[in-house]
Amino acid sequence: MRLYKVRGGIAIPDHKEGAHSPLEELTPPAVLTVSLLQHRGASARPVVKRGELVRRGQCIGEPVGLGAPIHSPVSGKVIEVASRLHPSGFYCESVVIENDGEYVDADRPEGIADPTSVKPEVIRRRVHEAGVVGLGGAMFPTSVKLAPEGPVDTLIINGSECEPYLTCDHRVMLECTEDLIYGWQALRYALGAKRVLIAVEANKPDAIAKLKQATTGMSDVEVVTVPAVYPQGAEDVLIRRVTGRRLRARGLPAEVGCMVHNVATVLAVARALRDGEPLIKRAVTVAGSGVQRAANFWVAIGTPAGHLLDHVGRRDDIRQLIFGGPMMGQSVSSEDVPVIKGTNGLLAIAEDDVLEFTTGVCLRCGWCLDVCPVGLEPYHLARLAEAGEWHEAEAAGAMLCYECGSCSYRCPGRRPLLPLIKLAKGEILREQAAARTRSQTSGGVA
Amino acid sequence: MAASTGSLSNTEGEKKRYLLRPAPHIHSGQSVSAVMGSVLISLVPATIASVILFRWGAAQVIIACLVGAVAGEALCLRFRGRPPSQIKDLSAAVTGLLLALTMPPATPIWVCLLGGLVAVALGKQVFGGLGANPFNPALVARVFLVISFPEIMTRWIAPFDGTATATPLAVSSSLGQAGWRYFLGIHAGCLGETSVLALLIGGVYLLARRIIDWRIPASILGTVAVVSAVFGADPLFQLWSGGLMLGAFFMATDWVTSPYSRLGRLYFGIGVGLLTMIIRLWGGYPEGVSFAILFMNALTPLINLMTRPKPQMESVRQVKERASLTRILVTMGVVSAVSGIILAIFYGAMSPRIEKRRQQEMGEGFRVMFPDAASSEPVDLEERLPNRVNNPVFLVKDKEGERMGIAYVTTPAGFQGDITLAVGLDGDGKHVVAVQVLAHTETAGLGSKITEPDYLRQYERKPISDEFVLGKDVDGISGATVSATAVADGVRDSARAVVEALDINPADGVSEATPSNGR
Ligand code: SF4
Ligand code: SF4
Repeated sequence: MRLYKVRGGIAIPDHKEGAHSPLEELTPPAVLTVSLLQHRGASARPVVKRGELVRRGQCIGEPVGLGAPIHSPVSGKVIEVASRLHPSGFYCESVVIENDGEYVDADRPEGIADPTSVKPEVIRRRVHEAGVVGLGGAMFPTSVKLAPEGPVDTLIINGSECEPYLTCDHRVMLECTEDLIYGWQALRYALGAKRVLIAVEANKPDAIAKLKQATTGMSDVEVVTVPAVYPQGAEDVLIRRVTGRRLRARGLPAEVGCMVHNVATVLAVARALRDGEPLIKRAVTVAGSGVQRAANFWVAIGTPAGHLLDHVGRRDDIRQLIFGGPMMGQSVSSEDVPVIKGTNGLLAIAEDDVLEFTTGVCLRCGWCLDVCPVGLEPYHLARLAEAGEWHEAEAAGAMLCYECGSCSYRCPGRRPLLPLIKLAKGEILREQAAARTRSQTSGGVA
Repeated sequence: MAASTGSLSNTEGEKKRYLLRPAPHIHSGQSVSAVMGSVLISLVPATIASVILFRWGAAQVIIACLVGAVAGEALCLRFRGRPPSQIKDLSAAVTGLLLALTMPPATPIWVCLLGGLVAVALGKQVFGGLGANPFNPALVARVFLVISFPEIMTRWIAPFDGTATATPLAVSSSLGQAGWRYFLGIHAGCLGETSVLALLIGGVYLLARRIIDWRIPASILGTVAVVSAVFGADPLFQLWSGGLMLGAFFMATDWVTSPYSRLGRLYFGIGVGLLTMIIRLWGGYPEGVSFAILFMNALTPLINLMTRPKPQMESVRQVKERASLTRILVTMGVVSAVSGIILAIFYGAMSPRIEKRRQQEMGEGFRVMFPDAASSEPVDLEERLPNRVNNPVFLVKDKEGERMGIAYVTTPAGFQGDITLAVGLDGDGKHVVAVQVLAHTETAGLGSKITEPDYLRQYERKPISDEFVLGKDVDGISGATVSATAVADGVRDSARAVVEALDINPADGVSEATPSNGR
């Protein structure tokens, strides 16, 4: 299959030490903290109260507007509905559940053996009810992506897993191949797409072989080996790579007839439809220099980070915890921070490997410009951010930044490029919001 | 499955707080000092080559420039209230070493120290330090020194033996058989402009480490080769001399003073190549690389503006515009490549004829000295002539076809540059018939007296076996002894060499050399 050229990108040592550790079932802890912010949009509204008994799979949070419902990962008692640390670093309303160790299931909808036997709306509804969101990290409600704005001819399954260290998607592709086939057939049917492209990075030859073998004879499905270049998994990069189609500035994939779903999401869709199982657990990689071994677990949503560390064995000198990969992951202050739907990895970093924050000077080498997949000028954006020139930064394309971090990674001057660009983005968003309120209030007066 | 109690035990006691850092949490490992270290490593071959060639004369220049630059950096950091640890970024050392490689060997130590200081202080720190300077600091210092001390900065010595000599670009314009000597660097010149091989090793190392972008050296060297081929200069000689290799791989590629984008770097390199050749071919200054690079440094902000990348996710309309722009660029590239090739082929076909014409014209010119001559005939004596006598030598014939004279051009070194002399000998090669000064760069009013016909008349009918010693059998010029001596020695040495090369037996005056029409 023909691959297309995409600008920028970097080769990073992949550190996929966990690639050969099979997924292990992780026993949920005694207390779980289920955040009510597990999707793009506003926090869900809790539908359980303190002291209430819940069963596994029972809905405990209803979305307000855009979003997806949230379910209890275990059976037990709600100890508290309160503010708790979230992987984003903020406090969010959460439901704290004491695990009774019984795992009594709530009523589940009946499974669908053949997804093409039901109407697409049924699939969409079931995916929504099961609380499925994009598990690649974006946590965008999957059911919304099943009702695209335009016709979709190509469904792309993102198995690139380009972040170093992370291996959970890799293991899912190896161990849950049949589930994935069911999942993408359902998605393809619901979208009316003509073909399915499964994009896997070249550094996972076993997954590619397994998928190829499992899909032989499927004329509308193709396993595509994409180069192991970061950020291969970024939606725009992937679409461009396998179809050559370009997105409009901040446009949606459906505008170019594409839809991208992460393999973990496809698995969640399959379980929701075939088994009627809501999204209450996911595959998570635990790795980094601060743990004894790199491993992959099935983790109940709401499990605190410390519980995962206990199971791989920690070293004394862990100084940093990262939710996600080393490029885009969030550094958190405490190991009480729970796994949420978008958590694909937990990295524990030993003292010596913590990257110090530096504010070097720009040497004008142009490397950041060379590696930026969007074609931005990170050195320029960073300089504008330092000067507080938010409007200029917006005009220079700051809002187009994926936040992939390639520029920071590559910069020999060790400038904090991405942090500065994020700062600018935050300020631009704030100004936009302020402008909206202003126009609304003035409208009210008039 | 039962609930694990593992984390319960962990919730007890003091909770550990982890460090918060912004993403990304890993880095490529590159840093200013690592990059500067690589540049220093890449300069090691050229440094060693210069010390082998020029011995202590080179070593002293290198040490003095390094000391000057690092001391300058330390002083500036102190005055600017910056942490002195910034010296560890090695950028001052790189500047010092690069400056050393642009200096003539055996330059006085104080000049080198001053150069290092100027490079760092005026070239870099006044603009705000590393990353903020618009011009290459080493070249700023070099130009400063060349303008301030023109005589010291053009004092060349020959490799190995250290005798005074001239630099190649001022002497000749083609490699001839001496190509390998240039490649290895066995000729006079700046420390780092001599050994092409050593510079290439360093350049390839930097390219392999991806520290410099191949677009800059490739476009500079390509442009110089094409321009010199089109205008009839020896491309290999143009590439291998005058510090072009040093400039293309180590000066023009300086990150801070070259464009950000890859396309911009291509433009930048082409600009440097063009300017270098313009200065070399039509300017008064044989070595144009430094000025060319500095000039393009000044244009870098403009190039950056012109070549700003367009974000990938443009609207459809923008994509179309971009495509048409690409098409224009491709068309322009193809057109210029094709016209370049045509010009090169045309020149290749024409050059023998052009050369013949030129020789005929020169032969005609000599007839001024021999008013009775009927024809002249060039003789190719390439290998038999010393460096400073131009090939071919012309045999001047009378109506009967008898040889009545010998004429040639020689370029002895004068006080400030070469003096180009046309010399006529009689048919037997025993006497000088006439001497004319065709070109010189001697001091106006003093050295320039050598051009006066009254002064030159003394050479007419002078036997070449004379001593040609100033004040003895040749008149001197007060205040211009060097110029006058250069002419006297130049006439004597060249006349004897030409007569010997022509194998004229003074007894019977018959030439055994085979006349040819030149190459
Ligand atoms: S973080 Fe943003 S600016 Fe930097 S390389 Fe990625 S997309 Fe470009
Ligand atoms: S990579 Fe760093 S040093 Fe190089 S241009 Fe970008 S910001 Fe400047």
